[in-house]
Amino acid sequence: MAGKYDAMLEAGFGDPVTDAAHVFRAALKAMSEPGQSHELASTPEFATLPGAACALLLGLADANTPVWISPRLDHPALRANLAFHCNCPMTAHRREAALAVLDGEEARDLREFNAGEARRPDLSTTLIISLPALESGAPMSWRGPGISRERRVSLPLAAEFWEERARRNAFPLGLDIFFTANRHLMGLPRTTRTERLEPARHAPLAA
Amino acid sequence: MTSYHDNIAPEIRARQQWMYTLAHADIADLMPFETQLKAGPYQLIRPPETGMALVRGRMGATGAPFNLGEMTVTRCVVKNDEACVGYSYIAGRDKTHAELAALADAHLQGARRHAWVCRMVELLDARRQSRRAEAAAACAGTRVDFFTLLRGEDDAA
Repeated sequence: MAGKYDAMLEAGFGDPVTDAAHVFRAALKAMSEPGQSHELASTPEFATLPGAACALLLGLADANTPVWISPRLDHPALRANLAFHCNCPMTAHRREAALAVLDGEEARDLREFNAGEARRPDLSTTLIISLPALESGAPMSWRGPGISRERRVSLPLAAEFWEERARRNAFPLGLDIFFTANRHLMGLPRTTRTERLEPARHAPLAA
Repeated sequence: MTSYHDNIAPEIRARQQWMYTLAHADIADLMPFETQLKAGPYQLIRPPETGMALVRGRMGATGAPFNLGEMTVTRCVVKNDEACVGYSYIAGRDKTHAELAALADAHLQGARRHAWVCRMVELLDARRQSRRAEAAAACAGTRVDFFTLLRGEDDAA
């Protein structure tokens, strides 16, 4: 008699109140120290979505935050668990999303995500981008609020992503982004200025 | 005239019935089943948590709904080794009661449903009914009947 929906449910946080508070604290810390990797202690996993991304959704999504899930990460079990644990509405339109979940490949295209409006820049979409790792990409230099001078970050992302982000970043408008990999979390708020380091500048001089 | 209850599938009605019995059971009657209920491995999908629920009602079951007040509710969801998911909503703050009731609901949806009904639900139901009868008998001793010549409800007839 167990319904199809029921069979897909998985455990959320072990201690919902404390775990959600820890995730919220980690999210604040990630956004206030862009480029710094933070590890989450308690991370459930729903279907196709790895730990930190799940934990962020459990901590941040509620009945007032429409969630958009990318086609590559979408899974009935993920939807069932989000509906059960967060009670959040799902939207098919990028523009309506308060939270959007996508992977690194899909992050090449940030069309239609809401960058906020002049009167309410806070209404922008927050992106959760799930990556295989938080390093191993091309080296970049990040500067801005929360970074004392500069921070070297090498996220495995295509150049198109950085162009798309720059196109949607006209302060105070812009997209705030969380990068997640397994249990790790990194923040990239709209205020961070990123610059690609020329490989030649750092490669050892050829003889 | 068909009422709301006539349109419910029989298996859903049966489940409503046992969830009602489990929620109304005295924790002392439920505790003897604890070892059997927790015999197999199970997973807490939603650990027992206590909160408030708004109770709404309709005057005479027909008027506009109004907020009667809030009550304390404890709820729990478990998944047992048969992958059956059991739910419970219990009045009050007893988390053990909520967990046992959810486990029972999960087992009652599984293959050994009949055994659980015979062994547990029928017993709990009998206990609940006898408690009700005792309370009714105790009240009946102090009952006062008011006789009046004219009663409001006769006007409608």
